[in-house]
Amino acid sequence: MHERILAIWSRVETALIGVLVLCALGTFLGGAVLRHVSPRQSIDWADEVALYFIVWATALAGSVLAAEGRHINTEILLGGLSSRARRALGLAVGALTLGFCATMAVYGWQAYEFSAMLDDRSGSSLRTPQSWALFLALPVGMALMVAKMLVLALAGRGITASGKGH
Amino acid sequence: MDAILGLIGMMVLMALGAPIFVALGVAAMVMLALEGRPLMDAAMTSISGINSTTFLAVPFFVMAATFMQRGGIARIIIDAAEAWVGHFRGGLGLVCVLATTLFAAISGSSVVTAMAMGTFLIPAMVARGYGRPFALGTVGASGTLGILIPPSLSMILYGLIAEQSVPRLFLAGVVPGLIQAAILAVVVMILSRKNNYASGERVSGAEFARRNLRALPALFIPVSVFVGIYTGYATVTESAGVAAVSSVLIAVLVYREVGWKDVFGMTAEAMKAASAVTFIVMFALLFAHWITGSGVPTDLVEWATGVGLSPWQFLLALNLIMLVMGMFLDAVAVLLIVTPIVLPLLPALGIDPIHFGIILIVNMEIAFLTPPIGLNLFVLSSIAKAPLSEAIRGVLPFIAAMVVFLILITYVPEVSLWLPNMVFGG
Repeated sequence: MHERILAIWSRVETALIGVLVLCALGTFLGGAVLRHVSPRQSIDWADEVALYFIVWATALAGSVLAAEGRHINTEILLGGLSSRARRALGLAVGALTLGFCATMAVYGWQAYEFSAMLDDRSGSSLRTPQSWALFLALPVGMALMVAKMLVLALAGRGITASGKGH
Repeated sequence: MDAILGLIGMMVLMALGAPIFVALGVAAMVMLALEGRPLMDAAMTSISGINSTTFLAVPFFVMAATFMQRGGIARIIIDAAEAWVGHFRGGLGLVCVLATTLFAAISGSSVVTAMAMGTFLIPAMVARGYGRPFALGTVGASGTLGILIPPSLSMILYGLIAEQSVPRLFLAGVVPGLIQAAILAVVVMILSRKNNYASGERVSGAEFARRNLRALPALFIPVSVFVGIYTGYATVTESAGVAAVSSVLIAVLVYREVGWKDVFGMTAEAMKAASAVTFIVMFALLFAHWITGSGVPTDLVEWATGVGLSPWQFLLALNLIMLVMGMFLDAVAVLLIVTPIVLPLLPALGIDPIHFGIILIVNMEIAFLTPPIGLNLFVLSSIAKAPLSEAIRGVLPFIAAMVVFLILITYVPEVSLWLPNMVFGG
């Protein structure tokens, strides 16, 4: 059941990531082509919007990477430990990661609210509110990672390659 | 003292197997909290750090590399390289060095380069009687060229953190990259003679022309990147975007190893790979924010000037520290940890930050090969289904050669700085 939830969840996130990256590439190159080919019609917001797409794709990718055990880590000490000690260490690292992501989600949300309160906007003609276009990506990404880690824990898995089987 | 505790805490977390972004983030957040600095500000710093147009180049170059790797381009470049040097003694080893040099000018990543080349070359070398450790060593060491020969993802990250010109860094990597390729070719020739490896057959004139013509579309990509950047017609990010689109078109329409139906999945896959690095970058920037505010760099500058440390002594000590760090940490982590700490020291010691960037990259290359945490070693042993010990045995002679190369790069700054200074002015 948990594995099925994880699989569907990751598939939806992966599809969104693909769409966001292609949108980013299209927007960015479209803006660049206009700038070079027809400077009069050039737009000043293409780079900015492409960056928002990539920031949100990154935020979503965090939890997919967690489910696939692909967050980069090192295993200096793990190799020499017994399987029991590895398991205990894996649990501790998992709890630390969970706590850290939850903390970043909370402070990220505060950053979002602060930016919204200041009505912080981009410098382009779009005047995009930075609160939801940029800062919201951090708490959303971190909250998704927390939720994914909880389901992973229920499925008996960790979030790094070495953490598999924890 | 607090700062040292923060650094040690971060290292301990990494050693215990915590994801690198967590180790960097926890250390920075705890230390900022202890110093009474606002943590909401820390959250803003981490996300704002990647809010830069230059940063867009990272996923675009990773996307280009992914299509290069899976789109049949590696095989075509190998065929072309074999037409040039395959008939010499130990020809496949030389093919590996030449093909990785060309592929490095497309991919920007060491692991992708080693993976793309290793998939084809290791089985071919073993089938032709080359020792497996030699095959693993040659591919592993040549693969490191991916981050030295531009475009290089590591140089983009260094440029972002150190606020240095990425086009200048790219040019600074050209001459060292070619010298490293020549050094690796010499090591291959010496080992081939020692092990009495066979020579390949010289291809006919018609076959030579066919293979090179077939490689031309693939070689168009690095040429377009360079022409775009250095004629001033395109920025680094625009060139990365063009490289991503061209690699898709060439892989689908010219070499036809992947179809349109694969494009979406491969694009998402590339973004995931880029995101694994982005997460580390976000929290490395937060770590750098703490380090800078903690006064560690200022203390280091005072200490270095107080003891009268000369630039050569400083670089020697730093190389030794980075070599040791590279044995135990991911190469990207070495770059992201060392840069903010060391950067303020460079002007005081008269060291050019572009030169230092290349020294850092060469240290990262060695880190990809040094056990126990040499990423290329794991990639190669996984591709060849060989024990890690064979990969380690294979890379040892190349590591020795690369340490000599590192000394050259460290103490002869002109090797790195000549080309960018000539193009952009000193």
